[in-house]
Amino acid sequence: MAFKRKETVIEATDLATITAEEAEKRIIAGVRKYATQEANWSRADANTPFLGHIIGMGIESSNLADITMSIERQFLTRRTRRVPVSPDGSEVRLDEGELGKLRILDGQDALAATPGLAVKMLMDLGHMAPDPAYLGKVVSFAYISVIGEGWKLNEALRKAMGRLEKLSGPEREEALANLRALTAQAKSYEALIADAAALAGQRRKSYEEEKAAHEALESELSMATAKLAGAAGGNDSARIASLRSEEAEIRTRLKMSAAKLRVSAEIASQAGNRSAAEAAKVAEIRGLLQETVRLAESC
Amino acid sequence: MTRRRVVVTGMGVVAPNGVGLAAYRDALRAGRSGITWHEELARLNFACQIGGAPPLTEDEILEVLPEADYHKMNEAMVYAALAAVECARSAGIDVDLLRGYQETPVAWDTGTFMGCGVGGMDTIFDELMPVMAEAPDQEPGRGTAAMGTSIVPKVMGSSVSVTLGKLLGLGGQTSTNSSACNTGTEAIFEGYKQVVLGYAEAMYVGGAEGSHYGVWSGFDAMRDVLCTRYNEAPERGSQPMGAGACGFVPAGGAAVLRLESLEAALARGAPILCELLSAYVNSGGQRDGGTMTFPNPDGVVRCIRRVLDDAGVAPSEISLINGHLTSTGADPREVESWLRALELPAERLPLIQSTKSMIGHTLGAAGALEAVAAVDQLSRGYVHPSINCEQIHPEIRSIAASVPHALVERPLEHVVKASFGFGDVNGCLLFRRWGGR
Repeated sequence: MAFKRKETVIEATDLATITAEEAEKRIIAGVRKYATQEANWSRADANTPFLGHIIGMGIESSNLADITMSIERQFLTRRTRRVPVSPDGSEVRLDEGELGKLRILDGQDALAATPGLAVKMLMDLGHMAPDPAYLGKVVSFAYISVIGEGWKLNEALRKAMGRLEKLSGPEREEALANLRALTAQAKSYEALIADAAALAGQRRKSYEEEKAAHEALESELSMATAKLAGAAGGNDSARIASLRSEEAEIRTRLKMSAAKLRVSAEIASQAGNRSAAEAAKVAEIRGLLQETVRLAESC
Repeated sequence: MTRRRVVVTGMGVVAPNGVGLAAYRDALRAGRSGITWHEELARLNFACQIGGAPPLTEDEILEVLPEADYHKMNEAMVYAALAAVECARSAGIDVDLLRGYQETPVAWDTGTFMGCGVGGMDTIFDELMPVMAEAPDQEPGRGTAAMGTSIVPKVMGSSVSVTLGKLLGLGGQTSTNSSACNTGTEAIFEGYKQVVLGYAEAMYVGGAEGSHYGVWSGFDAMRDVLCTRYNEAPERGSQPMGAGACGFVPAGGAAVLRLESLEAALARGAPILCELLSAYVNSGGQRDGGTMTFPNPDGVVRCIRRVLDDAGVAPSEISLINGHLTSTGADPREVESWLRALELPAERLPLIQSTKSMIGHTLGAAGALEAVAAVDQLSRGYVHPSINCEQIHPEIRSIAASVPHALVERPLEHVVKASFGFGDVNGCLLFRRWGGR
């Protein structure tokens, strides 16, 4: 018969009875089976990204839902009473109630990119008491993304240099031109992250662009809703059906845009506030980029 | 288009009577059965309570596979992965999955045809069905959430081939074929075509099948198909060509062979085990005696003859037949087909054996596991015994002298291997000893 798979029995713990550090440890342990970068997983801390192979645990993006489910399975909370917040009851919030299974609602995990940020999410949602000392050590989502981009750029540069060594003739010339472009990009990125104010300005600009696109979508929805209201009194059922479907489509796009905007807003609001932990991480990746750029420029 | 020569340069095995080629070879040479009684089959009141499952523990699996990959695999994928890693290593390809294999370069000229007959039944029974049973009690939109995100890759038809593609970084065609019990042999034929026609320099080919009761349950429901009279003596249950054969013994496992163009193999100094001279698959059209479960004898004969004709090999040059021979009432019909195809009198039939006598019927993996047995015997010069048929079936007594009951040490020149499957499909492979040129 089939080989026996070891079964892990998870005993859920009341979040009110454990510390942030204990919750973090459980979260890291719970994602082991999805971590393809086992070396990084085994030394993971609050600020190790779940995704990515260079400094992350190597969890594939297709497994993001499993991370959230793993967190849900491990903890109990008193915020279990479902209170409808939309007229049709499809959207709810969770209020204080009986101790029960933790439930992360759709979109609430959008910023939980590291174990530390997952713990912060539990605190922000009221499942755990806030712990400022712990949160002081947690790198914000904004800086996780800034640092991650830096590592990716550094890796791309190193790979481009590695490729160059194996080529000759016109192929080498082409690869060299690509390396030069990548080097310029890395230098400019290194300079950008050195200056917290400049970084914040750049992130704010991206946010403003996304916000404008979101607002345009909101206007589109208002118009569609108005058209539907106008048609509702008539007898043209085909037109009403078509308008309804158009409105539903815009609502879906708006919902997706809102989720994206929330991430963007978080990045824009945090990029200018650099904590000591974040400054150390930025200094580390800047040092690496400078060294790799120096090597690349000598190619 | 010129036909390129194809050689076998590596093999890997996960079989009920041995995990790894060395263990498998030892078991075959010793005539050791991997068939055992299974408590779970008894608990579920199966009529057939015996089967062949590879003796593997989770710890042994995790010595080869990264844990994160292992959790995303069904049984057949695990067996396929282990066999593929052994195959690649034996062919001189460096593979270490525990050391960040995602960074290794893509092998653009290498692909895989890795067959599977039934697929992820363990996932369906153990993971999917319990979740669906509780789905009506879940919140709206959350009925399937508890399945997690790895279900689709574990139940999709191509689960075994994409596993090999990922672990070995294959850049050529990566596909799964399925033709019931002919699957493994057909996969070898498909890979052979890729190399012959120059679409690939190398192909990992073979078959895998899980050994979960879910895979076997449908056959048990057919009653007269599985062996039901040897629950007390499991090792005696698989009796191909035997007088007491009463049905096949279900089993699971995997085998992978690396096929390679002769030029590529020579260029990289690969170990060459034998040459795959020709291969063919066909169907009997479910006519003239052929049905869903029984082959049209004319189809079988045509398939075998085509392979010999393509290679220009005379029947008298064949050293060994590794038959499909399942331990059912079809065995005497198969022997008749061999005699017709080779146009030989019964007393001149080459040695004929059934590897299933020791490993049971591994369904989608059968052709591949038996092809590995064929290649190993050819390259090392031995013939493994066909066990449990000391009393030959009365209808084929005329060929009794061709059935080896004990190990025979003998150089072999050509070994022919055939498989037949539900749906009246046939496959045949002809291997030649590698003589150095």
